[in-house]
Amino acid sequence: MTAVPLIGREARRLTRNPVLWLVPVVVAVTSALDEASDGRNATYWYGTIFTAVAFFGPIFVLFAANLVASAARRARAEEILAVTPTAETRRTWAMCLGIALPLCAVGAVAAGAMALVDAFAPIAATDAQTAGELAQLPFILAGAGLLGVLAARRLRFAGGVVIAFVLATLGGLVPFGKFAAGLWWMWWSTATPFEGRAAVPGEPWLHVVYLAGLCACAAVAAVYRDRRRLLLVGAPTLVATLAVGWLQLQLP
Amino acid sequence: MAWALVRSGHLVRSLRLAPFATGAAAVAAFLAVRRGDTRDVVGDLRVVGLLLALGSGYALDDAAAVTLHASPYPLARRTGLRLGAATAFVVAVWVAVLARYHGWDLGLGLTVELAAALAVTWAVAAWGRRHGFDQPGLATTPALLAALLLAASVPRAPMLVGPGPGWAAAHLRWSGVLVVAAGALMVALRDPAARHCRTSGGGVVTCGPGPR
Repeated sequence: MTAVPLIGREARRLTRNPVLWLVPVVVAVTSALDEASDGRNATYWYGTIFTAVAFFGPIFVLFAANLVASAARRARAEEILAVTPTAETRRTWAMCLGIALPLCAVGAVAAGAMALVDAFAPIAATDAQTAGELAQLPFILAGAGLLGVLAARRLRFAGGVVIAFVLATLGGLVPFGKFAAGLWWMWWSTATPFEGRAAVPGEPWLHVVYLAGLCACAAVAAVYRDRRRLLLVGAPTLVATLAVGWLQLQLP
Repeated sequence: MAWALVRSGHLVRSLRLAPFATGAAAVAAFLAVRRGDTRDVVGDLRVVGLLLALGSGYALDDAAAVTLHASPYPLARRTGLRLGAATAFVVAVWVAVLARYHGWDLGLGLTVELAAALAVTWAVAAWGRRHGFDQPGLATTPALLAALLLAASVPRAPMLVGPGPGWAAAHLRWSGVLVVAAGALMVALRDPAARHCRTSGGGVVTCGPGPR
């Protein structure tokens, strides 16, 4: 059996998950209630799209992906799946791709929409994002989804996803608080933050590679459960990701 | 019967303790990271309250719930016992944190916020149970976060304010949220199979069909 139908099935399960649809609801309601001081101009929509993808999106995508990835375990269907001809590794790869690819596509569409807004009504230099910064958006969304899958695979108990969420958000406050940009909720992006904050460090295109590496690390850790293969594939991926993460901070 | 369940340890064993432990560990880690920094007591206590509410969202996850549907001990009491145990845990941690921060003057307002967050969480879980979800705890975290994000986005009626002129008004709004969520929780705790129930002295309930 090719992996494509499995990938498509996981993607459909993700898109049908009601938690995922909390994102547009929250974005629409918060935008409707927001008293935009300068009116709803191009800069407002530019920032709204960025906030939707870099802040609201990852929060809910993490839980939606976790619900999809833990469905078989919660339904006690894992024993039945174990005797199917498709191996667990293959099914998990399909799950990772089925969750990451649509999220990447949504992130790319959002980045394209921001570029379009900038093209039709140029955004002020302080708020506009470079191509490298826009390219980070697909990986931020996909990374949140893969973190949800990883939590479902590795923290196989009630509340495991809460640990992943707390580590990914509150845990991030500790290392990111040491940067000059201070506490910034959208720390996965190096985009010039709004509200007059200092720029988040990191060379944008290398940061894209770093985010892709983090996504790969999450996927590998979710897929390979036996130590040998995990070490064989995961260790080089992790080392390369850390190297790129270090390098992006060294370049201006 | 309730006391027997508590005394024999059945109540605690039936609860999923991992989320509570997660909440407590997250609170401890957060307090350790803050290292006694008291510049933003309100913000810190709100984070602690959020962590406790997230950890308590799994209080109604019960694999044996379907089996217990047939027992004469009513749904409201069964669920109430679980919520009571979760409340005891939250209150203990919350009081300890308030004592550490010496935040008694802010305690009432922030406790109302925590109570509202818990009521929303448990109302979502109880309605999830009512609609047949075995493990509604998973859905409580995104639901609570969505509710908080929406509540924080109303500029004319700010909810997350610091001590000052808007404090009392904001906490009146929090009290409103608490009352509505508690009402939704109470409705969700009604046994869907029984309309008219009588409770005998021993806590055993006899239910009959509703009026035609």
